[in-house]
Amino acid sequence: MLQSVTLTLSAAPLACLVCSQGTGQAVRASIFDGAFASTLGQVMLPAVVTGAALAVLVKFLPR
Amino acid sequence: MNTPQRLRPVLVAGLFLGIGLGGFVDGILFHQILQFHGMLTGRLPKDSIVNIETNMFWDGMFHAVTWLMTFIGVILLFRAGRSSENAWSGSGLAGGMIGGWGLFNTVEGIVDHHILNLHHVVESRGPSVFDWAFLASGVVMLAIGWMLMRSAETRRDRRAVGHREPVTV
Repeated sequence: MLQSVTLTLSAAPLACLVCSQGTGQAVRASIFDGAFASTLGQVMLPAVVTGAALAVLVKFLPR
Repeated sequence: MNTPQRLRPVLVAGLFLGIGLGGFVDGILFHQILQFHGMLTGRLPKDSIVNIETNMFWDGMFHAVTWLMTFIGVILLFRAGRSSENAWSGSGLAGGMIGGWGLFNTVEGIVDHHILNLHHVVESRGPSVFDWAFLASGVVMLAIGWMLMRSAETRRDRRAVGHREPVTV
């Protein structure tokens, strides 16, 4: 599950997803939590719907 | 009579470019410059470093898709330009691009803002008139794009008639 970590900007070290410095580990845990696949699906859903709409739209375009 | 050139290749290229560039307008203007919302601010408000970074990650995934759409559009446009059988129509390209942008706003508005509630146009206001304005802009741009594409077809057909070969008897 997502964990909310509150840090003040002046005290917060930079987050780094690649190495584990700063808040990087917490950020990784927040992104790659148990709901990652579900979140990815939801974020990508508009792209899928757009592709489907485009496939229909193209059939009605002038040749 | 000349056979009308194919218009569809440049229209499809325009649609992909419009989707991609429209997505970039959303991402660059609303996510980054104005910072009205992030990809998941409806669920992860930007009130901590971790939430900001997490939103930034999903913004990146969003931008990756818009980049891919733009890339496909450039390839399709290049291919359309290589063949003399294809019409090189400015209004067709503009219509495709505006229509593509409208399609992006419409789908993104319906899915992200109104169904999934991943974020709202102005997150500090939650679901608001700005969401409906965004959706309306998509529908209007779709309609304008469609009209421009149809006018490109009309022009193409007139041009084909105008360039009729003289009949020799």
